[in-house]
Amino acid sequence: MNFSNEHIDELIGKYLAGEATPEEAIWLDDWRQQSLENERHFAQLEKLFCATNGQNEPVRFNPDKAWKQVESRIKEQKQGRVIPLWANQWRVAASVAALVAFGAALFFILQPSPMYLELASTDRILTDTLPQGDIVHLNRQSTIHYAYHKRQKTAHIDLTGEAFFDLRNPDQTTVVKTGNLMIRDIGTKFNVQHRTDRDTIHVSVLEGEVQLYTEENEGIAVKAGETGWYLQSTRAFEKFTSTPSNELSWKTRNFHFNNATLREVAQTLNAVYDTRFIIEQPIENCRITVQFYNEQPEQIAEVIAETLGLEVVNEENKITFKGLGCAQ
Amino acid sequence: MMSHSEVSDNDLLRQIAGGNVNAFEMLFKQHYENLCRYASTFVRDNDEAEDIVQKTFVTFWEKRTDIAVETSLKSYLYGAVRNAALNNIKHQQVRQKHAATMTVADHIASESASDSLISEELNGRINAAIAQLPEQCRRVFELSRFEGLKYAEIAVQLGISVKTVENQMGKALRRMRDELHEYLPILIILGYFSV
Repeated sequence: MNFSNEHIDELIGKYLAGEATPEEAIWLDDWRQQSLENERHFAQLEKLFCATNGQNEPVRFNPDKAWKQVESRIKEQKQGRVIPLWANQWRVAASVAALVAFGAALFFILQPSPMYLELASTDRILTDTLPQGDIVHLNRQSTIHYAYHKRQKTAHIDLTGEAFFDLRNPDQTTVVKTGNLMIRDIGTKFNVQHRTDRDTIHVSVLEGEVQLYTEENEGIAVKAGETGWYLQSTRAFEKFTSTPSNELSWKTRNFHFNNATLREVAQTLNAVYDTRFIIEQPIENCRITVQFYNEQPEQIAEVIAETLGLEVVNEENKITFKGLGCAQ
Repeated sequence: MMSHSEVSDNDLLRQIAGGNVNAFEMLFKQHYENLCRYASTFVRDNDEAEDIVQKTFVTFWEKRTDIAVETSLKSYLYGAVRNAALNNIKHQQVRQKHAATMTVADHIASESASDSLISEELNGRINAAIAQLPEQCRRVFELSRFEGLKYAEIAVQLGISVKTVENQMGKALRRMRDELHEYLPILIILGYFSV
């Protein structure tokens, strides 16, 4: 992760507010130790944060003293004695638990507090079921923040990157927000793609209907079989009938190539499969029309090679296409 | 003799799994303070935070031969501490709701119980700085700092994205630091004295 200076303050704010993920905390601690300036910067904001609640700054923690305690505990365990380490607390906790069990159950049933969840993918596609039973597939390098408000039966999802939503609750309203665009739906299946290097956000609907809108524009409705575009620079909406394009390929592993160059084909395949497809220079611009439906990389390579009369070299995690030129 | 830079994660884990207490001590001292600080951002009680971190390390020692660390030791430890802290908060919430009927002392009140070295004048300046924040920025900051809402809750309540909440909190801290920078050196000095 890389952060600019403004983002450092945001990150520190997140950390101090108890919102930082372990990765963010690790990054911040590393950053602090990089220079005295960084350490001072953090310390200033930390003191400020505490001061706003009338406290003095937080206590320093003493690792040497703490180590003595931990050391004695583990050494006692080494000798085979089972020490009830926190026995007093457990006894008290048990009696408290017995007394509050009914009350707590009742309390939580009556209290509709927002449910919160964060999911982030790195190099792999991540599929998960959200608390209300909806399913989300996250493409690589994507993150969602999910908050569910029980009273309003509304789920708010903040998306960075690309995700396919398979929503299972017809009486729940879901609003997906990415950039300035909001997408509202009721029980549908759709794909949202928002990559930082593109001006347009793509929303493809497989089933059902969604509404694309922003704070200043009520936007457009997009139905099954359609793809809506939101252009961030001009704040315009456009709609297309979904061509069998490769937008959802990352999840479905279905591909339609219509007179595409091998370079494009390799690019598309590489974004989905772990196996790398490599096209040698003389045949990069050879064109091919072909479809694949959820096949293994080796099968795909065979078909391409046969169709264009190319040689294929299969290696561990790498498939190379060789040839002298394009057969016309 | 192992120095911090020479020993890789795998070496360290192998040593610890083999029962090497010195290796474990090194891991402990390397990360203890940072982990306690991280835990305290969730539980808001320093004693509780240290308790959580120490328990995490002891558990780690108990399971040392079973643990398969997938990312790094650091990630494992930070993750374990956060989960323990969040669990702790859940339990605290149950107890706090019934504080009126219980005689068990809970630790949540530590924030208000701290002895403040902040002067009246400084307090006034801080409140003035908060009042001068732009509208949304101030509301976000107040909801977080004074009502203890999580970012996701603030986002839902104000109808904005979590990213905006993060952004506004950063902005708030930045502005307040600019506003109060002449007081900050004093705060830092007080800190060192209190150690």
